[in-house]
This record gives sequence, C-alpha cells and structure tokens, in this order.
Amino acid sequence: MSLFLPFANASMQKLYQSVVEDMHDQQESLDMLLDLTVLKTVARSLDVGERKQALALFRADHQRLALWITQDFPGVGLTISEALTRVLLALTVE
Amino acid sequence: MTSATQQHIHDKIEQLQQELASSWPELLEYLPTLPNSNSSTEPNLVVAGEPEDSTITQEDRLEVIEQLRALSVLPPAALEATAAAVLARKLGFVINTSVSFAVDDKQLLHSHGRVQVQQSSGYFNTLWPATKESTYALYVSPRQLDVQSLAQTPWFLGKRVLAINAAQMIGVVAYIAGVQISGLHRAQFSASSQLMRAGQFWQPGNQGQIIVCFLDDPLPAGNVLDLTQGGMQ
Repeated sequence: MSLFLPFANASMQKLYQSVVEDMHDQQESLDMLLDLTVLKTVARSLDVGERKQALALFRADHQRLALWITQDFPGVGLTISEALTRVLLALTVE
Repeated sequence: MTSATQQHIHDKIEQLQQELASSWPELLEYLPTLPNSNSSTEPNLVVAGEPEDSTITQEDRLEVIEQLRALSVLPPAALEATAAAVLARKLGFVINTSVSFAVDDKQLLHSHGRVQVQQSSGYFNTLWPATKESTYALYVSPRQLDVQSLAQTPWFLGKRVLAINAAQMIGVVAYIAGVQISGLHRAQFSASSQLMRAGQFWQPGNQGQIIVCFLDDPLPAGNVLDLTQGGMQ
C-alpha cells in the first residue's frame, strides 16, 4: 500500500481516480510521485531527530509512518494533503 | 495521458529524488526506484553533488561554468534548496568529487557573494593550530552566528569548502576558520591573503565574487581545482 493514501481525503481520491483512468500503465509512476511528495514534505517539516524516527517507521512500514504523522503532527498531515492535491490538480489540467 | 504528461511525471520524480538526496540523504537507500525504467537495472537514485558517471562532455562542463558565472554575479544570497542540489550535482560531475551547499540541512547564509581579505584573525581562529593548510582560511558573516552557536562550537567551523572563482574558472580548497570581526562588512566572506591569491580573487575580472560549497572529500586545503579540466592544477 502506498504511503500517500492515508493522506488522501474523499475529493483527492476522486482526483486520483480521474488521473489514474487517464494514465493506463503509468499508475506506478504516479504513485511514486505522490509518495515522494509526502517524503519531501516530511523532510521539510520535521527536525533532524524527528526525521530519524520517521525513517525508522518508513523502513518498518509505510503505514506506520503515515499514522505517526497524522497523530503526532496533524499540521504536517494537512500540509501533505495540500501538496498532494496540488500535484494531482496540476496533472488534471495538463 | 500524453507522453508530455508522462515525461512531466518522470521529471518531477527525478527532481524530488534530488531534493531528498540533499535534504534527507539517510532516506536514499530506502527510496523506491523509478518504475518502467529500461535504461538501467540499478536504482535510479542520485546523490546530490556526487558524480555518478565519469564521462562529461566539454559542452556540459561549459554549461556548468556558465551557470556558476551567472550565479556569482547575482546579489549575495543562499541558493534555494532544490537549485542548490541540482547545481551541486552538476558541479560534482565537473570536478569529479562530491560537493553540496548544505551540511546536515544547515546552509550558510550565503552560497555566493563577495570576498575581501581578512585583516586579522576572526573569531574562533585560535581553535586551530597554525599549519600550512590552515593558512587557506575563509571567514563567514557574523550574522551566521546565533545564540546556540555562541554557546557551542558553530556547525560550520572547520568545514572544508571549495572557494570558487567562476570568472577565472578555478576553485580552491579551503576551510572555514571563523567569522569576520571587522565592523564594516562590505563583503559576505573574508579570506586569508593566501586564499585570496590562490583563488585569484584580486584579479580585475573577478571583483571578489565567490561561490562557496562544502566538500565531502578531505582534499588538502590550498589545492586549486581547474574547472575547465576537472582536476587539480
């Protein structure tokens, strides 16, 4: 399961589906782009110590990292959702 | 989906990988690889500033030198993280060694600016015994110091850097010896007279313009790298 999915609200999931339907065999690339978007936001938002913990969670299980972010850093979770929406919107209008 | 959109996605993926390579290098080996990549079976990861291929055309080299020249004449500032990672990677190709504009996510206040000769020892200079290497000293702006820095050894102190003179297309290996102590700072950096001479920062065509990046390899201070050839002079 992808890292970005827990950060996707209902409207974002609709966006994602519409992009995926248009992508044919490129869904893997899209998922990777969205996962990297999550990681970039995490890297920018957490300090060095927090990133170490984030890395340990990411290595163990992507979902644990997502859960940790949403529970302990709700503001970062919102920022991630906004970043994902921007990426999907940009692909929708292309 | 158009091929342009697919290319856009792949470009964005590469850009994000480079940014993460710079901002969160520990994550690198756990990043996924680009799917459907037929060009290589190796992970498609790029470490900022680290040369991944020893082959570089003269055209590529000139392009990087032009970018450095353009950067050196811009108003003093710090490069934005993504741009810094991209430039560091390209520069790494050119000089065949790994460079970066950040250490543990910390950047100098200025990645480029003006350099003047340091008239006397800057703060912290006494922490190093005088050696031939230690004469190639660079001093940063006192604004680099914060309260935390004053309570402990500043993070940048003693870091090995490449002091680049883009106009003369050379870089000198130096180390950060401290902060400027003059009350009149018309330049963002100060340098020992030996570093000023080796870097030719006094040449008329240069006007003291300098680009400073961190070196990952322990090259000896005082070594001069020829950007047009990619090696030591």
